Amino acid sequence: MGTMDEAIVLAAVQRGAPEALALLYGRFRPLVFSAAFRITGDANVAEDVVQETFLQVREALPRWRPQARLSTWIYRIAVNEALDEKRRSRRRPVPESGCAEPIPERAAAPSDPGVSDRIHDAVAQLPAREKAVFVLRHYEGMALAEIAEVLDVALGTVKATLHHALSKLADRLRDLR
Amino acid sequence: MTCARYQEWATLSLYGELEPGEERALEAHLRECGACREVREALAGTVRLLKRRSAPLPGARRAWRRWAAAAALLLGAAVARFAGRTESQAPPEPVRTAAAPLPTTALPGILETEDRLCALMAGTDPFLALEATESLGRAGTRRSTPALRAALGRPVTRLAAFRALRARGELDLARDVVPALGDPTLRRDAAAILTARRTAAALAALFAAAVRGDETCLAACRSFPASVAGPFLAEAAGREDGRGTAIGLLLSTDGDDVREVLVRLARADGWIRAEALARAAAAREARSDRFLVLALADAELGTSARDALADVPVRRLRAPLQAALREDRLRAPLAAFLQDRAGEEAARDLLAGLLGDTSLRPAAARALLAHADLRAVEPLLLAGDDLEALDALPAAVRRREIARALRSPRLRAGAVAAVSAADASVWRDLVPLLRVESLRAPVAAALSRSGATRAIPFLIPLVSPEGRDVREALVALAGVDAGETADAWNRWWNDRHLNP
Repeated sequence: MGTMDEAIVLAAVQRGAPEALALLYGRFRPLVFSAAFRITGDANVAEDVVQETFLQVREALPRWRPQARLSTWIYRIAVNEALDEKRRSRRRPVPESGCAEPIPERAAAPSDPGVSDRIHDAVAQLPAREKAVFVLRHYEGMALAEIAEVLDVALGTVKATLHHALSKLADRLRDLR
Repeated sequence: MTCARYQEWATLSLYGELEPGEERALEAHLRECGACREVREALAGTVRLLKRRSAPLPGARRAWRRWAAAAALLLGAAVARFAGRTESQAPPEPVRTAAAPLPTTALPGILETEDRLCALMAGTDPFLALEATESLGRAGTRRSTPALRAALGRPVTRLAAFRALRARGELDLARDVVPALGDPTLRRDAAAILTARRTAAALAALFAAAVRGDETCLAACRSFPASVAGPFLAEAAGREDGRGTAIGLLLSTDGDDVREVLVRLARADGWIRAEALARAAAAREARSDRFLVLALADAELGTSARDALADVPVRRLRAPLQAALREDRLRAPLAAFLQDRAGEEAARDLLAGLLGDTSLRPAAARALLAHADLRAVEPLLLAGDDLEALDALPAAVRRREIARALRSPRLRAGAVAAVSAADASVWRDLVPLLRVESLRAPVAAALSRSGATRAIPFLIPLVSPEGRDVREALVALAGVDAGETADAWNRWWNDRHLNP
């Protein structure tokens, strides 16, 4: 949790300190949004997921007992919410337009501007569970054991799912390698 | 294993999720299987591509807009510009102002950003205020110190500002840290700072908070070295305010020196004595148990300690007692305590360990034997000393043990010496030993002591002018002296039995 200690924040939330939820939101919002966007492929839906996630966190946190890490628990709410939203939503992924300037990428990128879109589409087309596993491992850098906790499935299932997802991406992006 | 499984392992390997053994097995398989090698290359190429061209997050752009003023991003950009790096390069290392203060005239970009961060920190948006404070803590200069001090007054920024000032070395012990012990948000950090100081003044501040009931500070007090804690707590125990806390700490702080301090205090002050013993007896904690053991062994505190431990089983103190019994100065008084409590198995176990000590053996053996604990028998018989301690055994048990020992070559010398008037029935076990030349004299003496007249016919053939011991035994048993030869004693025996 960066500079914050989970236990301190949790204790503060549970005794009703008003700043604690703000601390939590400030720290986890980018992570929740990132995972939600990559799973839903839609920034608007991802924003909804963020809001819904923190509403649930606010409701449940005072009664929460640490059976897992706080971050794992918040991820679990967010990922489930994102999968549900994905199922509910009929909206097509809306390309981001009218944004402020994009965040520059750090690595030297190929000149073909369509490559990022191809990757984005290939990931977006993965089945929901495969996408969730792939996003959490590849983009969020989460350990497979933690993903298993977040998704509430066996570790073996997570391993197999990650392989299926990567195999599909390898197939769809063959010409770009 | 199938190729499909190895291909799954190839994916896991790319993400560093294979065990070393699995990794080796995969490599071995890939050396032999071209199809799997091809799949692994495809998977690896895909991972490389995805890492190279990670699609930007639209939401991140929104977040960028939304958090455009957020401190971390602003400051990061400013530092990058100052460092002359392009935005495509890796971000700069955080600037550590505490270690190397930045030359303020050379950094307009940073200073401008720092001013904006200060404004955000004082602003109404709590998220931005917090982020700004944390950013200033990571990379600000002394220019923002007054703003951070002001941020100490806001609940949302208090902790981050405190840590930022700490990182810069700008916290004043008396003005900032000690008062922070009264603030639940800052208490843990403040206690950690004071604990690291290891001074009496720091301990005094933590102690004062501990007296007010703060557990964090109480725990911090325990970690001070005995050289600091001992003198401070000794003085604190003499004051009305907080003396109970001081005694508690003297019982629980690391280091035996501190417990010795408490023993000295308890000798001089009846209230401290009663309080310390009662707390230690109730504490059930190794350090306070050590105090109890020291008190038990102390000439002035021993009686009070025994009273305090009247309801505490010895087995609770087994480990500290065992350790203390290895110390010469404590052994004798603790042995006396254990003798009093010899009704308890744990006390007897410890007493049995003292049977090798010649000075403590008789008392320890008596205490053990009085509770029919036979572990004392063998050491006594082997040593051949203090055999009267066996008198503590019930008579029947004593005779059985001596008879058993007489049949053991290792123990029989001691057993022979142990025979007394109460042991007439063991004569049957003694008589065969008369054939052993080296034992004849003591066995004869033992038969004499036992009063076993039925042994007389076995002694008579052994009488000779040279063997006085046998003759003396016969005289004692028969009540007459028939002479210095076996023939003379045979005549006496026949006369007695033919003409009773």
